[in-house]
Amino acid sequence: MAYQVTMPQMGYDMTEGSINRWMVEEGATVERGDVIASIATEKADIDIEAYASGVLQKILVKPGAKVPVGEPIAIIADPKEAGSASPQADASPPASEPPGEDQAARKGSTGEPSAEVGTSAPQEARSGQDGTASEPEPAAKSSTPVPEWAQQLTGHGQEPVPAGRRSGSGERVKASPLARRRARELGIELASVKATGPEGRIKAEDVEAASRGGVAVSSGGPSGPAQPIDPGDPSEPVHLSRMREAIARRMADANSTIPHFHLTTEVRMGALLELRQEMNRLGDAELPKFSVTDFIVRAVALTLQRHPDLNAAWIGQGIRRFSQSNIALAVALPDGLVAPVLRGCEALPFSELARQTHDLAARAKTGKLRPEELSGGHTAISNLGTFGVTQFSAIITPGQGSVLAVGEVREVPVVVDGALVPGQQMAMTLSIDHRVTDGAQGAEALAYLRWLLEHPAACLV
Amino acid sequence: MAVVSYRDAVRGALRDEMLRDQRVILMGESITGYGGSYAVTKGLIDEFGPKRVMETPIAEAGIVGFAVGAAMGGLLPVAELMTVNFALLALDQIVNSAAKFHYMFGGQWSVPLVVRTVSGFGQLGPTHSQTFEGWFASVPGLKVVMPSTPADARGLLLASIRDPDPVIFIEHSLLYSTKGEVAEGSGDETEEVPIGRAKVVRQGSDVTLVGYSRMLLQALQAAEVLEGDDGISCEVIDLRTLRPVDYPTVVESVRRTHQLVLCGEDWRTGGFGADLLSEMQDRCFDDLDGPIQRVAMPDVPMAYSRQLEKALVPTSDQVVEAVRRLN
Repeated sequence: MAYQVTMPQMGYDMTEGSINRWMVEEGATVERGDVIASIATEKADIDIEAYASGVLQKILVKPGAKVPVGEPIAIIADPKEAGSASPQADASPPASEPPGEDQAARKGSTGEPSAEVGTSAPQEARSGQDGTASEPEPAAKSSTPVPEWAQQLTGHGQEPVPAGRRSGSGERVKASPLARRRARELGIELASVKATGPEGRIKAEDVEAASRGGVAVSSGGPSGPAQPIDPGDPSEPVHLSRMREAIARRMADANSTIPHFHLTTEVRMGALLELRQEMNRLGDAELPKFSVTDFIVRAVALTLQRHPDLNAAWIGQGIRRFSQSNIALAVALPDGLVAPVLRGCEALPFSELARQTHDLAARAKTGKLRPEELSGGHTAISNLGTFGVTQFSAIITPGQGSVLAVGEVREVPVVVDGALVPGQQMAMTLSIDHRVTDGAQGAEALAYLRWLLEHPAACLV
Repeated sequence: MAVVSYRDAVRGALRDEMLRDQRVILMGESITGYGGSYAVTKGLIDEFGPKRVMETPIAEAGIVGFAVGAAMGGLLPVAELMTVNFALLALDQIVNSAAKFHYMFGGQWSVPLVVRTVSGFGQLGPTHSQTFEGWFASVPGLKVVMPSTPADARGLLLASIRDPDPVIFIEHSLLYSTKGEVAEGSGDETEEVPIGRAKVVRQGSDVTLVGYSRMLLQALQAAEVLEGDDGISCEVIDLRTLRPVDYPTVVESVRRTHQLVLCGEDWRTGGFGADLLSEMQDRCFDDLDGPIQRVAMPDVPMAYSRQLEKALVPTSDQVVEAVRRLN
């Protein structure tokens, strides 16, 4: 009896993956659960495991090749079958009825390897506690359909939810099976598709329309209009990595569909830098080395709790308000960037928050993030201060409500009590989706964030 | 080619096959004098005599039991049951004998039997207006055929008589007078319409309508209306055989149209369409752009009243409505 190993779907928008390398050679014996290959998705490298024990009879896809989700990439055979010509060596179901293959494919499509995530328990516990702190808002109760991919943002679903799956007890976007399939194939988020079918159902033609009218075509995304090439100006097309394609698509989408507004403020960083230095001088080997970013993450987490208007995003046809503070951190990579998400930041002790932040950043740089760590953010932080950027604004990721762009900490003269003194200033720009909230609310939130950073002890309590 | 009625097409097939093969015999109630309840066998007694056109008592279990024995003994009996409602009396012989013997005796016996019977309506009341094709189609060992045109009635009946297994051949009382082109009978294999093969009778791109027997005609009418009034292009498939179902033809169509309406006139609950729907959603789930729709008989006994009957029996209007629900 032979099992097909198929390209798994790791995350709702994954349509294809490529093989990094095979860990096992043809003819080798594998046990169920053994890592047999490393695959690359748009977002991360993932190890895939054998779903059956046997002999890796055939590798169907060479390293480097792209394969659509669900396509077979290898065959694992019963050792007896692979070794000798003894058919029907056991009482297994006949190969023409492929329960094994189905099982493998289905397991793959739910992103099985990512099922164990250590953060689930604290998050769930915390969201219970938060019931009193942040009342469920009308927006959260509205009947606005919320897509399964967006339900990840609530932090309940730990596994990446492929399009077409119901996640937990939440609402879902009503879409036909074909529409879901086309959305997967085209990389379209169903929540962004206008439904014209009966009973508000998204039909395949709606997805096609969204694809045609979508930003990917109109604003220079992966399939943007070709520019005339001047033959006197030598150039060559650049191979698009999967990550580049994803960034192009999502950022074009975000920049043309989200009405951004930007609020900038200056933060006095003296107290924070001093406290940080003191904490790092404690010499306790149990403690991580704290960074400025850790404080900013903490302050943003607290701000989202204090200003729930900001802990929200425009999803589908309306606003979805969140309870946890889930914060995405932009991490630069040689060929792009990733934004792993730290969930339930408001509930983490500061040292734990710092540890997790450092861990995410480190794994982001080595391509070791799990797919579920790449979605579910409510806001994001992008820090270009280390590159000497004083101030900038960032683009909001679809599904999130805002993004904080952080500049460098500069030694500048500041006026204190009418006198010029040396000061350490940091500029930050909060970009907000105007569909979700407005300038005054954003300004209040930004003022609180600034106050926290200028009174860093408040970040630790 | 000649234009003949459905009734004459069935009779022609019986006659030609009786001429071609001495083993073919007919048996049933009133099939000699009147020619059966719908005059299908009229005149055959004169041509073939009482040894091959046998009048039986009003005893359906006896008719089919007798026919099963004759089939096992080497003849090719075509038993007529006046309507499918009376087939209930013969169910034991059909299900427990005809359908089982080949299996039970390790292939030593076959039962090359055809049970011809009739579905239909017409102020016949609750006990004579039923449609049981789904029941027969659920029985392994049987083949179930329901032609919608004179040509298919002829071709499928020839194939049924020649088939080595028991075939339930269900005609429709409201189709007997419909006419269509039928090949002049040579009676050879080229005339057979193979059992188990559906036919795309109208090509379309927006929705697939699957029907059989009378509902196939209703589906075709609906397709005309939808094309004219709604600009919806319907592909219409005549299933023709209910067991075994030609799933590949239907699946191939749904992969292009992405919408499916199943047109039947048996009861909604447990009807043949329910099973077809189950299989199709499994085979085509990711191709479906809307829920599979069914047109079926409401779950009530048929009334005698003309108006109530009109309200119950599925028509092309319901097919049109089902398609509009999808779009």
